[in-house]
Amino acid sequence: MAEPRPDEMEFYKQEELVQIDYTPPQTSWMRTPVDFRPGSWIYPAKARHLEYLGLANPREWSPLDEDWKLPEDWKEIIFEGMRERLNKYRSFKLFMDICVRCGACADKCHFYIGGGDPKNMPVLRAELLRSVYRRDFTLAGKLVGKWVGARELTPEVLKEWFYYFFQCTECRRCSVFCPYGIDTAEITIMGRELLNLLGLNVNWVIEPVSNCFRTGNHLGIQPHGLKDTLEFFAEDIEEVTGIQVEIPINRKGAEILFVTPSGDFLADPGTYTCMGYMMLFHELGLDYTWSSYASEGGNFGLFTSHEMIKRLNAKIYAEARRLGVKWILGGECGHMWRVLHQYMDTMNGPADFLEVPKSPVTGTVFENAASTRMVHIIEFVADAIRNNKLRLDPSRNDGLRVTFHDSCNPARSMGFFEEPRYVIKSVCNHFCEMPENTIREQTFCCGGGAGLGTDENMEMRLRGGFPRGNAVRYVQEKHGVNRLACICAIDRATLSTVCDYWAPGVEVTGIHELVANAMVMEGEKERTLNLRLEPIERGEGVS
Amino acid sequence: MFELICQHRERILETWLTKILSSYPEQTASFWSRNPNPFANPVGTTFKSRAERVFSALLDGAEPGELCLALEDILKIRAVQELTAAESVGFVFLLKDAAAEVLAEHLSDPGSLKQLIRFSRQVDLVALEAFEIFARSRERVFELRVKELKRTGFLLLKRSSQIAGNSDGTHSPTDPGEVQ
Repeated sequence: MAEPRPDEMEFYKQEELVQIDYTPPQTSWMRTPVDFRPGSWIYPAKARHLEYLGLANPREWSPLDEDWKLPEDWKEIIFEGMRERLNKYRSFKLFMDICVRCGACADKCHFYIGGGDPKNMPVLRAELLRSVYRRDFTLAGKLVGKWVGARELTPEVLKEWFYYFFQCTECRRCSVFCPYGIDTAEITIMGRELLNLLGLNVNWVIEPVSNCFRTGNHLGIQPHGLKDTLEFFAEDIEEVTGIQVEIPINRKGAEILFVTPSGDFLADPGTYTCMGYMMLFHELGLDYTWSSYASEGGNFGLFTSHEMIKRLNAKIYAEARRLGVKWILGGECGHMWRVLHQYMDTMNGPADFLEVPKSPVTGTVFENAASTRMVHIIEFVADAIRNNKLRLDPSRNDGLRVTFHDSCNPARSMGFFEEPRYVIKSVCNHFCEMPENTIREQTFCCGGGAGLGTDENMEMRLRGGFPRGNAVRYVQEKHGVNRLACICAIDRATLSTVCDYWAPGVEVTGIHELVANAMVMEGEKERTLNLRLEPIERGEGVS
Repeated sequence: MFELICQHRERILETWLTKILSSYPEQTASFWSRNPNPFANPVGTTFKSRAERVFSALLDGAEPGELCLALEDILKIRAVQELTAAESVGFVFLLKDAAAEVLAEHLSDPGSLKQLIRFSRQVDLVALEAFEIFARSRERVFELRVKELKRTGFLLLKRSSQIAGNSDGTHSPTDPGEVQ
């Protein structure tokens, strides 16, 4: 018999081909152990940073190790930690008890939407903790165990906590849809606090915390480094505008202390936003100062523990007191404002040694900041524009078609929806919105917040950033959008990568870069370059 | 060329999509197949619309590049999910299984069988293309990691070269934008 030819069925010997099983395991979630996949976990904290901060169990370890070198009494530490927090935070107790597993949150998490791992459904991620709570803190759990979704705390469960609580960006999109108002971000916060009691934390969070505690900012920039950085920005500003801006640092008796995330000192495009602040303050003639000790608006303590939030936040207020300023102005940042808006007051407030912020430019009193005495720059500049205190030429931004990404914390934790849009529309002629279910309170996270913005977990960030990237690509194709504006330093870093992958051609900007480009400054030379030192495109340059 | 397959195209497409989605956990497959909103469910809707385009391109022909663009949209997603390389690209072969399953009762006819074999060979070519795109997407992921590092280091290098007196730019560091 002749050998079969490729166009005959007999040629193909299916049984000899590599068999790939496309079907996922059918075990229940409790019995499916965590599999640490490359690109989905973050390097653990280095021992020297834990030691510096006085945190538990400093050692060298890897999540891939079988033995995580836990303290001998690790289980008691976790239970005691849970007990303490259940008594201390009523919200934690409520969130453990009241979930009816309705599933309203299930398909709202960007990690679940983009990746499809069921343990990234917010309800299931919370269940990782709740199942342990049920077994050891509820009567039903003690009596009938797994029939009520209870399970024993084991090293495998801890590994699962580590894997999934560092796959949540605490963006709170899921909580918008929860009929009970469960704030799943707070469950992640609690989960991470408990992990921290055993020294289970990630370096991308702990090193910045340690740096901030030592030098005043996440990057560890020392006073002379800060001065050098700002001088460097001032040179570029002079090249663009012909104007020398002042750089007041640690100046006692200034009216305003300005604090912004240090990410804006280091990397583009945040650097352009930082230049924007400097130009704005010069133009408005603000009596302000930078501080080399409170040189960080962000607070990675939020991704560590309540104690750490308080320790880092207190530095800003101590510095405000030392310098004798009247009030504090804060830059474009995301989680910084959740700390300021929701936690600062009960941790370190009220800041009654400061004055209720009043704009020296317009006379507007910011009653909303009457207790924290700290104002977000976007409301400050919106007020200045509203009162015609800035001369603006939006045509300088005509080369840009802009859309706005509502950063999770300013949007969902503060309700900042209108101010950024008002400012953008005042300084740009071409603005359009992304689809309704991807903006404002329903905004999608960048995928890199809450300490996940490092590079070893790039795949995780990119699939988590897909819902946002997908909406950006839609307006890029439909409306020719080429610039994505946002008011968060982590967004500026991580969305640049998200756009490069999902919507190449769209670049990211802070709003104050746009403001500074449009702002007509007193005594400026003819503006031919924008802050990126690119030629300005005006008018008919845009179709 | 593929008359029989064309006659059953809707059922084959539906079967293919079901097979693609059933490589994910059950509740995820259900969510991705159920929700038609492209912004609430970008993965499910992308898979559906692009799989349809790939299938149509095979049966009806398409502009050059159209098939690749559709494949790319699917593979960019699968390249960053928790899948192995074989799993990521393997969805293409499921089209052969889907066609064979739907046409099972016709395969005793030699003409139909030949048609299926010809179709299967076309699918193999698509799989090769898918492999190219998958590899490019993975390279892109690593390029982006490098680009992020360069973006943070660029300013420091630029400043140090200025301090060292290379203001003429002859030894300026590589612009991070060059990694495209």
